[in-house]
Amino acid sequence: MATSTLGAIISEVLETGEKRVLSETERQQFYEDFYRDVSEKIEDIRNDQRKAYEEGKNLILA
Amino acid sequence: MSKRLSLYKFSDIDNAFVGLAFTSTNGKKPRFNSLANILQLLNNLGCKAIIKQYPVQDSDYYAEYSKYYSKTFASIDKYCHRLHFFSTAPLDNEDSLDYIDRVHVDNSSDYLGFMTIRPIRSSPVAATIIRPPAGNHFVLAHEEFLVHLAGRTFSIRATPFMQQDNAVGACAQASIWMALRTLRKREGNSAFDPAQITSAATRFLTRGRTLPNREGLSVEQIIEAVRFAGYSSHIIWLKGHSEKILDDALENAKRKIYTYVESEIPVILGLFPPSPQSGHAVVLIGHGWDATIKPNSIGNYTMPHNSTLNMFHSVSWVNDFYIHNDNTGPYLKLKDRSDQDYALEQAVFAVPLLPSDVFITGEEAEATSLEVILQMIKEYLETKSAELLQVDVKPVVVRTYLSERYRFREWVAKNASMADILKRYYREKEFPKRIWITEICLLDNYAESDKNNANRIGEVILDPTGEPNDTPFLSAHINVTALLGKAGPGILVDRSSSGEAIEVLRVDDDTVYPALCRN
Repeated sequence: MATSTLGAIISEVLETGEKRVLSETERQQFYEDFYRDVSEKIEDIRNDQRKAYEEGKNLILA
Repeated sequence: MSKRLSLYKFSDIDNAFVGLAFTSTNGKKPRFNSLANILQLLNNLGCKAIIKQYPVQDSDYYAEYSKYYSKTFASIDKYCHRLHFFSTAPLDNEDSLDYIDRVHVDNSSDYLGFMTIRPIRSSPVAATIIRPPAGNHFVLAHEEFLVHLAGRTFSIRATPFMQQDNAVGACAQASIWMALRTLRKREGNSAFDPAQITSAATRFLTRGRTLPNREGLSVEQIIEAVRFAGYSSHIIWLKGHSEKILDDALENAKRKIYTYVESEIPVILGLFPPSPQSGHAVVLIGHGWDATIKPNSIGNYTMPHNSTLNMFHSVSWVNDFYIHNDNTGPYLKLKDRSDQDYALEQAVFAVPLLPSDVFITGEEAEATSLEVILQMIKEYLETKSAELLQVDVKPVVVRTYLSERYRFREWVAKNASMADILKRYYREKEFPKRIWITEICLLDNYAESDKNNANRIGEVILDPTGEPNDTPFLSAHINVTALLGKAGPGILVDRSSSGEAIEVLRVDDDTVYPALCRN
């Protein structure tokens, strides 16, 4: 989990009470940070998924 | 003129069936486990009377009859018996219609449901809808059914049950039928009869005779039938076929399927006990709750200023799941482990009947939401000075479930403790028809969340039609100051559905509020 610009914005909003819209650059940074942190976990889940289809397809329930 | 309705007293389980239907047991306990357990359930529910209906042209049995039994040389009745159960005691010599009218006027909630008895001696329990037992558990995959009886309408909330007939369908078909019938009203999808389920499952892949179908269905056939009925053909792997599952892996498997159970989605579970070698399908419909369980942490995350966030999962307090097992009965406990009975440790795969317009699975939704939660908390703590972090970060509990948008908004509108700004935001925010919700609660009091005592401090709401890698959250709210045991503002991050706009807002006078509780 890497530091993103979100922390500074949260701090600013908590301090001022004024809502804050992320700029395009901030938004892209946010998405990049998120993708870096979550993509491996999603890939693991999808690998389990493939394994389920592959190993389970011949099992019989009677 | 023959009477179609007859009234019987239900006095004791052993004699409950005498004279009621062709399966008369002559005073002995019925030899069918499902039947015996249903009678036990009715006894526990306080059943006092039975109205027997005959003949009944039950649509599910009639389909089985048309497809198979009508072709047998032996004469088999095309009609069923249907038994309606009530907890109002009948008067001496009371007429059936007078009794129905009296119960309807005085106490229609005394209607306990019905059981259809098909004229197949080895597998008599056809479509059955009986109220769940009382107790400290949550039967979540259920529906409200209206039952019309002699001009009176009774209402019952229950999960449909059926025993396999072992000719048109085996346990897999019975489980698919129970799951589809539970969701028919909610989802508006097909609720096939057992014959249609067998046809749908064997359209493209047959592994032997389809009629009689005594060999059951393969996993591929099951998910094809589920897909054909309008649901996502999602399958979750839980363990290897003959692998002994360790405690950590079992907890992980519970967590995967719990998300769907909390979403009120029936889950078909493939169990492979050591003996016999063939598998058996059951339907997961709910879960128990044990407040005395000491929960296991799912992560101890390093946070700024040498602090840590200890995270727990709601499934920790789930002692047993509740299943419909076609060969033993409805609303039965499925323990984690057992040498004597079916148990979760034997589960190899699960098939939740996920609506086909939900593209993000429960596992993906939870992984995505946890990342959003961790990122927000970490970023918040980053901004605090070390001095302010004298107070430990409070441990939290997470739970993820799919909800219809209108039900989430109903819950928000009724929530008396939620900050007004937040309530207004959620009631007006544009959401898709369904949303994945991961709620965040403080660990304090969470064990008593079954009594509505949990302290919820936030939630992440995901678009289930999004792509998990693309941050598909629509809202993320955390009462960040409550994490430090203080009162103060919280943070709300709003994201447009296109992802083109992200806005951060302060929630003044943020509060803690109860978690969703459906008892």
